[in-house]
Amino acid sequence: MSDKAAAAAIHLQHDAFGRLVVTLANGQTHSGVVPVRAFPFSAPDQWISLCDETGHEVLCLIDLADLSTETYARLSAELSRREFVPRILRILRVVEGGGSSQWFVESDRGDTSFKLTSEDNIRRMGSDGALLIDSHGIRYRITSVPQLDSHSRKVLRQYL
Amino acid sequence: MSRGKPWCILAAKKFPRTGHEQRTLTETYATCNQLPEPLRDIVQGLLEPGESLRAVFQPDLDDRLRYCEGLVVLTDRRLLARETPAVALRAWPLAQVERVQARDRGGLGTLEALGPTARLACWHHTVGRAGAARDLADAFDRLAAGHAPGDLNPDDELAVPEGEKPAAPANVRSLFRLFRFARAHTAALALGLLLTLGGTAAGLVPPYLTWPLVDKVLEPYQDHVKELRSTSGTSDRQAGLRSIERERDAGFRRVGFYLIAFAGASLLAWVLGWAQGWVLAWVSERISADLRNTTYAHLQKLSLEFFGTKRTGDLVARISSDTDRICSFLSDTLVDFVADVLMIVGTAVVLISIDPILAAATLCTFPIIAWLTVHLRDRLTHGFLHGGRAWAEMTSILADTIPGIRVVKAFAQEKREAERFGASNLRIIAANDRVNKVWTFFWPAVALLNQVGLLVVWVVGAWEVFSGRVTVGVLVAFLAYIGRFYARLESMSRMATNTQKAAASSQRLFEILDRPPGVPEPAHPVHLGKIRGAIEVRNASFRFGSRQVIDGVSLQVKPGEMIGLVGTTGAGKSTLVNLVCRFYDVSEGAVLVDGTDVRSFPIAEYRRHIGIVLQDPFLFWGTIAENIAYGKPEATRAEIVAAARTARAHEFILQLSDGYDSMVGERGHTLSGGERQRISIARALLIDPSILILDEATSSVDTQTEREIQEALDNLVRGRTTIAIAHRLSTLHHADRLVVLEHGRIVEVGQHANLLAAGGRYAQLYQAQMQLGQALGSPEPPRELPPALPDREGGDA
Repeated sequence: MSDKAAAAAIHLQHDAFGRLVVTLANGQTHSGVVPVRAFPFSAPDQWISLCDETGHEVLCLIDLADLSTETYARLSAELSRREFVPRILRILRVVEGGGSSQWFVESDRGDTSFKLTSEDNIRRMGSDGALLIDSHGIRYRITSVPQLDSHSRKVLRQYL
Repeated sequence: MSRGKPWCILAAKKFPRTGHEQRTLTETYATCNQLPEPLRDIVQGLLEPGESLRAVFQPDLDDRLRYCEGLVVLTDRRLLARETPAVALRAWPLAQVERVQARDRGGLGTLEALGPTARLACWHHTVGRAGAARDLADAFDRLAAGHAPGDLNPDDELAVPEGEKPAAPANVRSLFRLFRFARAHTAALALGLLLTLGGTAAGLVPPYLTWPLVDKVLEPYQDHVKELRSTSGTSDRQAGLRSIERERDAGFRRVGFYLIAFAGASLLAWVLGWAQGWVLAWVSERISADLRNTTYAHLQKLSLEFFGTKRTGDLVARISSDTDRICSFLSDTLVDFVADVLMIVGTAVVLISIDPILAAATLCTFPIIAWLTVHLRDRLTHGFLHGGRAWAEMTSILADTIPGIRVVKAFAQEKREAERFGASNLRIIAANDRVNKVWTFFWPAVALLNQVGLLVVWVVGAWEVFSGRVTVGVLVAFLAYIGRFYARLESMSRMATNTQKAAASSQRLFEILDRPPGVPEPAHPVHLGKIRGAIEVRNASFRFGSRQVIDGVSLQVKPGEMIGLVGTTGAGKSTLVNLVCRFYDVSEGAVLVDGTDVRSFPIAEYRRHIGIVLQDPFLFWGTIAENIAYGKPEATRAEIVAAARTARAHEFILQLSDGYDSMVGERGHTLSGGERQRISIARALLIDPSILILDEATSSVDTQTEREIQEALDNLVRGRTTIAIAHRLSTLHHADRLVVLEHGRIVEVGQHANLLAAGGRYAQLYQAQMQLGQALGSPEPPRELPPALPDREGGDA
């Protein structure tokens, strides 16, 4: 069976414990699977791996477009529930001090502030995106730097 | 023969072990001609008619190890020698000489001629000449073996790579060599120069205007007023006042004209100066980027040998700070220099045209300054070169300790490292103090000379005004010019400093650029399609300095076969593998892949067929996906994931927070040794190599991890010609054949069971490992074999 057909035939649902149960094309079921993006930044909607509780891969979905609409919706919901990567919409201000910097930003999850311990924690993502990793390891994304307002761009230019 | 190696003349060295050898060796006269002048006559005088020269060696120590130039000559009939020029020559017919052997240890080398029953003679030399001594010993061996042209293989007729000999460029001349990089920007440079010329010309106008301003406007008016005051008649007074008013109005208009011209010229000079500065800064930025790129690209091509002898920090300093200095030299100093020269010449011309005597007075300090500049130049260059080296030493310490920070902390050596850094900083201070003393003296000295010049001009000018030779206007114009002139002169003397700095920097850069790549690209490359992976090492030898690391190794590996290389540390395993990868070229013999000498393949094309998994997998700064795709950047995600799956890396990668997009550091800090190793296996898998090199791939990890890696390796090895090095003999169980190396020679070849049964060297090694394993109470054999022969120095070359 081709990857596409296998992907189209899989079925996802939650069991009574709220765990995700996947039914494969051959009828096998695995409960407690976790969807993992293999390339969360460079190809977020491709290469989604379903791993079981021990970390073993059950199934690798190369392209989400191959899934049935229902499965796709479930998977997307599950993925977004599992991921906390706020998208930065606006940078309000940055306070430098003692080798680290405190960032005050407006994100798609509300206003927040976080600390960056090193300039290495800001990196380019793709052609015009950026990723910030704060002192706790939380990731903040900027999908497109050129689309930010001029103040935010000006701040970022000092770091990128 | 090169000037740097006058003591070693090996006859027919140009064509070692080729069909040409025989022919060249018979041409005694021709080889004698290769000798340097005094030696040639001496050696020619020694030869009997028809006797042909094989090798000449000059030992440089006598039997009490004092420096002394001796001479050892090997011909096809005799061995001739004398220890010092003073003693008579001794000669042995070759029939009496059984062996000639060269040894070296701890900087002292010995060449011995052995007879059947006793040592005939022995000569000592410093280690620098050890290679030449070996050449003579080799020449004797070939002579003894009775080499005939038929023995030689036609495949060997390949250009033997030239050694890496950096040419030492002359100091400031190395700056001129920078023009090679300027050529691409000729237009912009010409524009810059044009703007400089315009700016200079515009800059010369304002002081010139002071002359007519004083002499034609201010002075006449003042005279007129004085004249009028002296005439006291009241009738004239009214007319006089009116004429003064007229005169004043006209004067003002002319003053206005001169001042507007003054301001206009200044403004023009400013705009042109700006444009010129911008254009030249633009060019210099590009030139220095070119310089960095060229140096780095060249650096990438240099052999591992080069990197083995250079410190990272030094190379980093050369590419970063030295190019930066050159950039600032090109943009600021060079432009200033051109502007200064133009300004000085232009000013001198204007001054001479106004008044030659005053001009001569102005220029009187010029020769002194020129002399001073020339005099101090050498001391400055020397000082700056010294400073550059001290700086490189400091960056070397940084480059050493930052990667090794775990060792530093583990041994609690933070304080000592800080002290070491402090000490190297002290050396920078000392080096810079010395040179600072010179140039800080220099600039004020120039300033003082300028004051003296000004004084002289005042004296001469006053005298000339009094004697009516010049007007006050001329003197004022002169003084206005002189200010500029001396400012220029001063900036030019500053330029001497910067030039020497840049010269020192470009010298350091060209030291890299002048070095030919270690393994040369073939002149007539043979392109390879898909290779089968048959490797043949044919009578290969490799010498590292004077040390024979590989000595006449012959080995044939069938396509798809797995060979395990076994031997103690320093036996030459890694070197043999490096020869196969062509990180080095063999000194003698050849390495053939699918029947073709590897030296005839284009290097990059050849290496694309080789996968290497090293003991310490190096991960570059970047994502995991990028690291896996390092050898094949255009690989698709599917290929990357497939390679990772086969290397048993896929699942642990998925557990990382960013999956394949996770960043891994310089040394991959966030990953464990086994994880890093599996990524490097995936990297090797992705390029789908026909030949696979495993250099201690599992020796840095624990047994559990080794098992996982072993699975990954088994996938990797399948269907590929593999050469594996392992200290832990148990990991080589499934090798098709084991090759035991000792002192650069193959001592045993066979399968594990057969070799064990044979009870030879391999069995000894294996027993030793098992015993040590039991003695230590560990269930696994120890990683390191006990070195069999403690007299070998150093690790694997």
